[in-house]
Amino acid sequence: MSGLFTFLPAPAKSLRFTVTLRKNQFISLFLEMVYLKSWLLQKDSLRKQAQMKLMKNHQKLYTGMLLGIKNIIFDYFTDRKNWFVVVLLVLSLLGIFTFIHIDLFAVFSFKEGKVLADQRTSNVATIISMTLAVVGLLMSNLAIKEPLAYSILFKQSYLYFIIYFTLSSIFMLMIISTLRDSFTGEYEYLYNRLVLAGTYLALIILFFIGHLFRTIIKVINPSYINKSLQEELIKETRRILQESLFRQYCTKEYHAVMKALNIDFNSLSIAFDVAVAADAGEQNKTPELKSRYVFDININKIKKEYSEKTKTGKYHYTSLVIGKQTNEYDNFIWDYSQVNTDKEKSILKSCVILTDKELEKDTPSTYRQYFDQKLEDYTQNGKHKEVGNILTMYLELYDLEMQNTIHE
Amino acid sequence: MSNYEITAGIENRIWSAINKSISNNDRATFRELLSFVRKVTSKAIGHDSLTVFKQYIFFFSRFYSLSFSKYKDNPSYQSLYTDCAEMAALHLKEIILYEIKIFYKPKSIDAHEAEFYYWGFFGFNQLLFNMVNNHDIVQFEDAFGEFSQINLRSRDFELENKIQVLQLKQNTPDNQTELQILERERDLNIQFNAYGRHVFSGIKAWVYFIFQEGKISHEELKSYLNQLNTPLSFKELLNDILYMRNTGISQYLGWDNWDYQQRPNNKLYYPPDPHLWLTLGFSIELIRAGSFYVDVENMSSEELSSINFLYDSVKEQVNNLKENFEKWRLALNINSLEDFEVRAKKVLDALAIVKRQNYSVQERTVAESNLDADLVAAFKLSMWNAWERRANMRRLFNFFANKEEITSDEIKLMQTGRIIFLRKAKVMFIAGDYHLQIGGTEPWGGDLGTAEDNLFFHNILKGWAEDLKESSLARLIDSSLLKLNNKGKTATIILLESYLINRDAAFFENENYISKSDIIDSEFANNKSFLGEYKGIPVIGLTSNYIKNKIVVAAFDEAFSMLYKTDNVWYNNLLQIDLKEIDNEAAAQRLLKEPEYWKTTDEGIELTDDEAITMIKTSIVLETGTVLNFVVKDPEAYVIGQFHVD
Repeated sequence: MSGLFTFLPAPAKSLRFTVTLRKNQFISLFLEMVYLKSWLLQKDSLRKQAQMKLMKNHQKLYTGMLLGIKNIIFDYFTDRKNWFVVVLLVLSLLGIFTFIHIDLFAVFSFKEGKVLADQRTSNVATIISMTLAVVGLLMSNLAIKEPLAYSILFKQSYLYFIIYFTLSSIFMLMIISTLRDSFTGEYEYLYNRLVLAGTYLALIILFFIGHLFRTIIKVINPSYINKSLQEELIKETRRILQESLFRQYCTKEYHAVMKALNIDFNSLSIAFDVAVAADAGEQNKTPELKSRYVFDININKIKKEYSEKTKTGKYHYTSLVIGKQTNEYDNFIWDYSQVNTDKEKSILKSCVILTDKELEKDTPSTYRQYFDQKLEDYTQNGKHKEVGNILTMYLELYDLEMQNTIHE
Repeated sequence: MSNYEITAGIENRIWSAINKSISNNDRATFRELLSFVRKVTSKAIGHDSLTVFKQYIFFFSRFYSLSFSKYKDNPSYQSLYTDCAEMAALHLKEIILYEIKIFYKPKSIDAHEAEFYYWGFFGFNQLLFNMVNNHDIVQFEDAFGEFSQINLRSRDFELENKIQVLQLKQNTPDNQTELQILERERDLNIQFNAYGRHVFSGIKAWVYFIFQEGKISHEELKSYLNQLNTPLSFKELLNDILYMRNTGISQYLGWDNWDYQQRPNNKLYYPPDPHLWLTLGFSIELIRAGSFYVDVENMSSEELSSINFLYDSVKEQVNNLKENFEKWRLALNINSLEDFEVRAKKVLDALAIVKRQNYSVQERTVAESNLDADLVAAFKLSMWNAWERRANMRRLFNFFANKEEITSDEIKLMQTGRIIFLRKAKVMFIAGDYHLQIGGTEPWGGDLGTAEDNLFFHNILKGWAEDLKESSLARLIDSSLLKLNNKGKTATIILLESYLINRDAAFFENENYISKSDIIDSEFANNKSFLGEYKGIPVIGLTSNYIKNKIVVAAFDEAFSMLYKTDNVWYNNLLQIDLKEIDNEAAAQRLLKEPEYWKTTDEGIELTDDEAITMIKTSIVLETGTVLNFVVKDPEAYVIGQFHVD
């Protein structure tokens, strides 16, 4: 088990936790940052090796680290499903503003504060109705009325985020206003602070509304939406390409390691031999392992364990692709016509990091599908300029693909 | 990983868009799509992506066909259709002629340039074929005009000069790499020209073929031939037809998919065989050309050996043409049947000479080769095994040990065996390319064994009284045993014709007879001719004609003896197997004896004496035999009985 510990600073269990939450990009990003240091220092991981090769050979596919993190954070906050994070954010902002004391604003008395609370509540309510009006205007003025265009609009205007933020703020203010008589004596100053914090929130909301207005002006222009859609297509393509190349590099690297160790890829007949040997031997005693998904492979450990052995014996291996579901993870290298012993099996098992959750298989190609459909529509209607635009993008896709192939 | 291919399926989308734009008669959109296709192919060439290139190169012929079918139904499509046809040819030409040369950057010495050329020509080939199939002579003229421009790349003497100079220079690494690059370019040129020629010859042959099948009129044929008039040298024609006929490449340039009719539903159907119509085209070309010069110096042995089959196919095609001479008269440019026959004979003779030359190379090699020791040893072993299996009597004598080796020359023994002249069979015993396994040699060894058995029975049957006759096998054996007993001898063996035991079914039921399969252990268990035991005496079944319907009951070791000779040059000292090559003298004698057989080939070519002698020397003489005799020591120690059916 020592290999696993050197590989990861935390026990395997917490790693599985990371994997389980992979879809939750934000949390996994956070966890990855925690592990980043140790992860950067070691070279055992197959994933890491593949990632390094990918980044080195295909720099054009990456927009830069900071921009990438920014995108992930923004995508996360503007996601329709993540309303609770916004509520938490508002709550924490309220807390922060309460404890930051700015002398300039804190000049009103408790009595005035009570009045102010009601005023702010009604202010924000007005703002909400303004916001909704603006949203209505936005929607009706959208140049291209397509579901995908709406989703781009929502994404670029941070609409969900702004609405959630505003609603949370009014919720907080209403609570504050209701609690006006609960603060007595020495806590009166705290109430004033809360009202003040609510005011800050209302001011922030004003900026958000401004942003919404700015966005309307843009989306009225159809070429802007088209450009955004094209950008999204290229982004999507890059993501798919990265994922595809990553997997290819993993496989290539795995085979390269085995080749360097002079271990042969198994052929069908050899696999059959082993099956026969397994049937005949005591193999039957051990129950079949539960199928799990391969998350990563500790290649340095494999190298360490087998570099000596392969000098004397002839070994074979099966393919162990990242993301593959298998129960052979304790039996993927074997000596010809010989069954692995329990010790060898436990070594092999410790070289593989497994997970019970299926890794993401498909990256959806929403934008490709959208443009495929558009191409059909435009040709049907004879809009040759629009057809030309789409074809230019497709050419770009071909360019991307052809520039980013792995040459043997 | 298919779900990760970011461009997967785009080509289908593009095709359906092209389809739609043509159906809508929408030239602007079509032009957009066309320029996209062109750009993608350029990119594919630039990035060495053959997969993408293959996906798009056939778009040109496809959209031509589509626009043609639209135009046929509705004349308003004419301008689009003309556009399509012209664009297809123009773009294909530009791709083959310029783009591959300009955009392709070979990364290493084994780059895929030639493959791009191949697929480019394949695309053009398909376009020309579609045009011919549509009877679209006007567009064919145009497209072929474009094609001819590609096909103009001639031999680059400057390049060849450079190579020669470099080859003579010193062998520095720099020179080597430069030489490699230049040679690669030269090979590429040769390949390029070959593809162009193959497309040309293929289309021409196809035109002839559909004319033969009655799918185009004589006028049509004529106008196609007016276009397809580039002369090719006989050597090129021959090289190409041999290359095309090579069975491994039936999918070459998509020829195996060419057809002139709709495939019928629910029926087993074969499209025309490319070998057939390509040979037809070749034959017609030769007859039309009339004169040619044969030079086979530079041909590989593989090509030469496939000429044999070519000769037969061409002969068949020529006969076909002769039968339908009236139809072909104008196309062939020949006025009378006599004239045709003269030309056809010339063609066939020329091919026969090539075939003959191929043979004479082969024969000379075979005649001069030494016998391969391993092959000879293997042959001798198989002869020995066959002889041993069939020499039943010798086996019995070995068993009873009543044999005697004769060393003196005074006692005359019999010689079995024979001398066989094996015509053109030396190939069996030489190693290398021309080695050939000939079947049916097995009986020669076996016959020798049978001859020995026959000799034995011939000797013991002398002076047989023919007094013992029975119609039941059991009774026959019983009375023979009784007779032998009366002479005071004890029988140790019963020999009979193995067929007898089946003729008398009652014998199996006889309680005295135990079949071989019921005997647990016997000294004879390994003897193949051992059938069983009768009253404890082993029964041996034999097939010799001399023992037909007879049995021999004998006290074997007292009655007979085998005298034999050994020689240490014989196989295992016992069996003589000699393979003798034929020397010039023997060959000359053989030629005198059979002049017709050796001096005229199957194709009717007269050979010179030298050639005939070389051919004779590809034969071999096989001498086999044993020296032995069987003598009767005591005529009272055996009884012969005759099975007699009323």
